[in-house]
Amino acid sequence: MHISEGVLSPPVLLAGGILTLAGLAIGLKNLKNKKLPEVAVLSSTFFVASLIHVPIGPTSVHLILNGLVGLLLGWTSFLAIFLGLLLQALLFQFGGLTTLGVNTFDMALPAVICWYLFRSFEKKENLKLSFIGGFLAGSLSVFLAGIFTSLALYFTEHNFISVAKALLIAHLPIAIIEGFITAFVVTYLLKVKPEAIYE
Amino acid sequence: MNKRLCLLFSLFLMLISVKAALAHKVSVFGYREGNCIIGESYFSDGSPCKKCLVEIYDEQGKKIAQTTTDEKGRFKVLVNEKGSVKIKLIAGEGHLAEYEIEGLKEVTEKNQTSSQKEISKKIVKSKNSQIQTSISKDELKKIVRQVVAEETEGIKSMLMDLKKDMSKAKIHEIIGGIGYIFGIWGIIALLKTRKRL
Repeated sequence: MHISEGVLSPPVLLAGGILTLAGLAIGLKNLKNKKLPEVAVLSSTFFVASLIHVPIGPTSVHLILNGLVGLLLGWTSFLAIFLGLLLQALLFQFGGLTTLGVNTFDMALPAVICWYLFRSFEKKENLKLSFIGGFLAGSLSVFLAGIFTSLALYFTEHNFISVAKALLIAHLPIAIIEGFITAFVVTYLLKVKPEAIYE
Repeated sequence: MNKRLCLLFSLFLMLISVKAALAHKVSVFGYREGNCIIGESYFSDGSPCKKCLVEIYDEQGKKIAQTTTDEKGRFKVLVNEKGSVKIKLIAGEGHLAEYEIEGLKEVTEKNQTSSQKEISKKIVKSKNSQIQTSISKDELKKIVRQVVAEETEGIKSMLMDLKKDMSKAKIHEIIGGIGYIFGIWGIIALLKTRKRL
């Protein structure tokens, strides 16, 4: 779901950039020293996840894992996702530097939304509920990312419904896979290192 | 802390080992053949862009032709423009790729040096005197073009494969990227702890 350079109009790019800057500022404010190693690991997880390609559907679709990043990091996911996307743009020319703001916002805001929605599900005492919460966070964040991406494209392509439909259908398998990945990682962490999620 | 790090490390090591050289970017590549522009488009994992819109623009940015790719991501379009042209591939959902082909250099009479003129005169003379060829200049050009096209077919497909390989994500780039991320976070950690002291 990386939007290439030259697709979006300058106002959309600017708006994305400003919103991402705001997100990054909030992320930096909430960044605790104790969390730093975790943020670093999750940045690289996000960076690598986009290289895992699932050959289903008409376009090529890859893992995103923004739900996992969001559930573990909250607002700090803006920092992790921004860094991951920056290096993807520089090294692999995914997306681009001008679209970095829009792309970061499209991926990181769903992560933050899912963190607000599902963080109360994550309890050590009730692993079943945690599993469900993890699954929902993992899959919903992919869908939300699809909706935000089509919203950004709406201003230039003018067919929101068809783009959104195509993106959501293409990402259905990814949403299920990411739901399970997120659920397993979260329940495992709750068993061995619950403070990774609580803090 | 150790256990958590181990878990996340193993997670992304697992991710790397699944399919490292796959990614999501769209590329287009093309060349001129006579009046046609022939090209190929693909995602960076090498899979073709099927049924995608291809637009051809001239130097002034005016659209002069349009076509769609076939099942293998290839396209062929008739273009009369001699100047440089730009191929624009629209793969939808925010994916776009561009490729530029340089213009043809027209060899005019003025550009020919005097020595070249002499040679060509000589050739014409010798042709006239010795062999009574029935092949006109245009026909000869056509034949040469056809032969050259056949001969270079292999090289063209080789170039295409090379281009595809180049746009794939390499394992050393992935590892390098992870290194950068840890380095940047390391610097941030350093700065943050310094502030405290």
